[in-house]
Amino acid sequence: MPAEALGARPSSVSRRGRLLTGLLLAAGLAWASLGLAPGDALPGETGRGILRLFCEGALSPALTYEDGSAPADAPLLLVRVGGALWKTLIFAAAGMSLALVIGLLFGFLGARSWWTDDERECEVRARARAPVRRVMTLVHVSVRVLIALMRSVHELLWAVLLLAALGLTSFSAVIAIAIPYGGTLAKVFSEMLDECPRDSVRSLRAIGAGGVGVFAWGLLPRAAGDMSAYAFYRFECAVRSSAILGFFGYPTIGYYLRLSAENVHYREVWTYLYALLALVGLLELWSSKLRRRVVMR
Amino acid sequence: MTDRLQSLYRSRPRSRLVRGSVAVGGLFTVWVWTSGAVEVGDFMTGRRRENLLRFVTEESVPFPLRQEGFDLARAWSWARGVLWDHGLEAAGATLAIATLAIVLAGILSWWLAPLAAANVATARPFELVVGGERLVWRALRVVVRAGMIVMRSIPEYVLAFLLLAVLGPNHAWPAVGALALHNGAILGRLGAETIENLEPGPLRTLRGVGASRRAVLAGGVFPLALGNYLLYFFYRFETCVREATVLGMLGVVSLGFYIQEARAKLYYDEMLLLIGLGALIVLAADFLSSRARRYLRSGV
Amino acid sequence: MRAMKGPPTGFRLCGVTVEYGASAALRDFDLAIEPGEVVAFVGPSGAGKSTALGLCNGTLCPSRGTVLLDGEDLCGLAAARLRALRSRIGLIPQELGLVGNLRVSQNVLSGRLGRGGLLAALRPLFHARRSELAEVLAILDRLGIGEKLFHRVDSLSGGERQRVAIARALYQEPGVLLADEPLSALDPARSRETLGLLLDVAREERLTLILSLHDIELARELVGRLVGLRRGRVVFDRPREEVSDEDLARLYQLGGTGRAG
Repeated sequence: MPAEALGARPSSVSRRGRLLTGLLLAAGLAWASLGLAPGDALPGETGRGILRLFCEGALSPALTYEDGSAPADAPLLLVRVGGALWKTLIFAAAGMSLALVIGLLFGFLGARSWWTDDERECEVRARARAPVRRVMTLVHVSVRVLIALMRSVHELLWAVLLLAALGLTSFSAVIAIAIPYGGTLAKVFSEMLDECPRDSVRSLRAIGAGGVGVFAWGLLPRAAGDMSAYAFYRFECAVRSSAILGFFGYPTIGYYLRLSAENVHYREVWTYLYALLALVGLLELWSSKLRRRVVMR
Repeated sequence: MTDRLQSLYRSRPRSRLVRGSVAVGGLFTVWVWTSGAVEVGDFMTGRRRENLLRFVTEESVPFPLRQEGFDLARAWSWARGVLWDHGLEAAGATLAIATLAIVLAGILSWWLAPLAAANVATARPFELVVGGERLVWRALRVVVRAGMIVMRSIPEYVLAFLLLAVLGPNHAWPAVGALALHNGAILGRLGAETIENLEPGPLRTLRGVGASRRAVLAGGVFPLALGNYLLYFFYRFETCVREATVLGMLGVVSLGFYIQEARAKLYYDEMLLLIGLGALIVLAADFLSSRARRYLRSGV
Repeated sequence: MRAMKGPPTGFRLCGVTVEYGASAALRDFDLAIEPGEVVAFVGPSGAGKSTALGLCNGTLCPSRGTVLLDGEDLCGLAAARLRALRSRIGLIPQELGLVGNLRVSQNVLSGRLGRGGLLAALRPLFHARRSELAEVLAILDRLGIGEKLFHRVDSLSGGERQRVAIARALYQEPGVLLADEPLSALDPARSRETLGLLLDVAREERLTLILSLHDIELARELVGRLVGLRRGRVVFDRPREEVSDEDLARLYQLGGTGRAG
């Protein structure tokens, strides 16, 4: 390409082209390194049988236990589904509320706008606060590192860790959700605060408002709509995570789903799946209604 | 004056939905924490406390250091043993699963997005006319959208668990497939939104000079939507790596597999090391994807 | 009602030059504004009007020269004193700086954020006292938007928002009112009405009012004293009756970037 020969920056089209080519190459490499056979992507003899059972289950989810597998003192299937759903919701809500506290605290501390002054402040004053500023930078950077660490470990891995440390208690499930979700919320919150339009901040500063006042009146309410919409979206994700935590023995929906699947009771599996889908769908509907109210453009 | 204040306050515009939601959410949260549904502080008592202390002071300390005291060289040779033995290979496999899955998800959403976009999947694409739509098209859109909602509402972990039963163990397809389906549905929805938000003018012009639907897609829609779509794509790549790590715990050979194995053997020191390695590759993927997004935006 | 020393009122700018990098936004600027005076900066865009206003509340500091507010050098002050002064300099920024998803009452209450400490700054956001609300309502009534007291600002029209910004400035109990292009978002009829309102308020409260305006015809008709700025220099500074067509020609002569409209 002549433009590149001249040392010009690649155009946006050729940049995309390069990325796409790179991606396809990487995918090819990944394929080869995993040693995948295309045929394995389709179910074999036994797999087809299971798939058939699975698809039949989708059409007729179970309303009572299949072939009387449950112990005599087990509650009705639908009661169990309801209870598992309730537990899922409880873990998600507890984890999310803790994550919200972490997210708000670290989100503020991780936001540039919490630390820096109006850029058009007089230079004289800017110089006077140099040592204070160094401490601020230190806190800011360490909070950001902490956020990255919290986020980079998956909630299931946190759960595994906490299971080893604390054992099977509902509190460990709640923390397992709260840590990575808190980190993610903190990251997104701080970005939202930093990307907020600055006009009201400038005008409040110009009428003598102090740092906290400017933050609380000029920045926070501005970002609050987007922040709450995002938090609600994360709550939906937390419900899914909480459901999966059941795979590790917590009494959420994943626990029973796994049991039923291992017993090849796919009609029960679908009952749990449909229940989870209904819950997530309901939350999604609620959040989209709320978003329209809260985030006005 | 005070009467007027009161009447103004009473007639202020407010949203029942917002207030109700805040109330429900707040009350539920308070109930959850106070009713004993969550065993707060439970770990501070008796057995659990011993468990916690043992984990922190003993089990999480690298095994050779436990008897022979702290020594950096010994710790390193232990860590190298774990990493060389399977850690690095598993990390590579995790990245490979994520990469392949996200590319397959991209290809899948390439087909799904136009079918779900209201301005493409209609009898008279890219035109202003709205009403008088044929039922076939609407049905198609509804089916595609519903399918995508189901696919993205089922957690990847559950999908992989079910695929494992169908496809059998010993290869990475269940993990790749679960990630590809889930992310394909998410990218499909985001892609459909991108397509619907495209400037209609140029597309209408193309259509006006007699281009077929497919020609408009290839010559107008895809090139125009690609930029924004790729931003979403790389954003999802990061999550893919996170999930790929974990899916191993179901028995697919990624990092999660060895984490699970170490856990089963109660080798908590090794488990911690591998979780740290997982965090490292997630951070690397995060960095890569944000670089790719910036490269797309500004060419830096 | 007023603080011991009373709010600031008069300005003296001596030999002020403001530089952004290599270029100067204002050059050797001299100006005295007496208490209770009404002054409008006029001129093409980029002439230095906003810069001149920024000097008056210390958001900008001159590269050379001094800005005296009732004898105090605005740029040599301790942070606390500057804040105290700023809290009594009413400001209506060009972009208004209102917070859309707060209510009108809260936006107006934010006018007194410069006073008091941390708690005093946070408390009114969650709980406004009845007396404060009554005060806000009185101001809003005077501006004709009392009924909107508890509405969200993003549900208001452009003209109503402009009034909320004015109300916030008045709630500061200022001695000086600074208004940067207060008419830029309004149609001609509303412009005249709003400018009239500002002038009335300034007269009744005996405020010093300093505005920047691009509509020179309107300024010439209503505002007492006009300061014509062009490329950072004062072209003329006279009472409105004495501003001649010749002055205006010099203000907008070839090379000026804008035309009055």
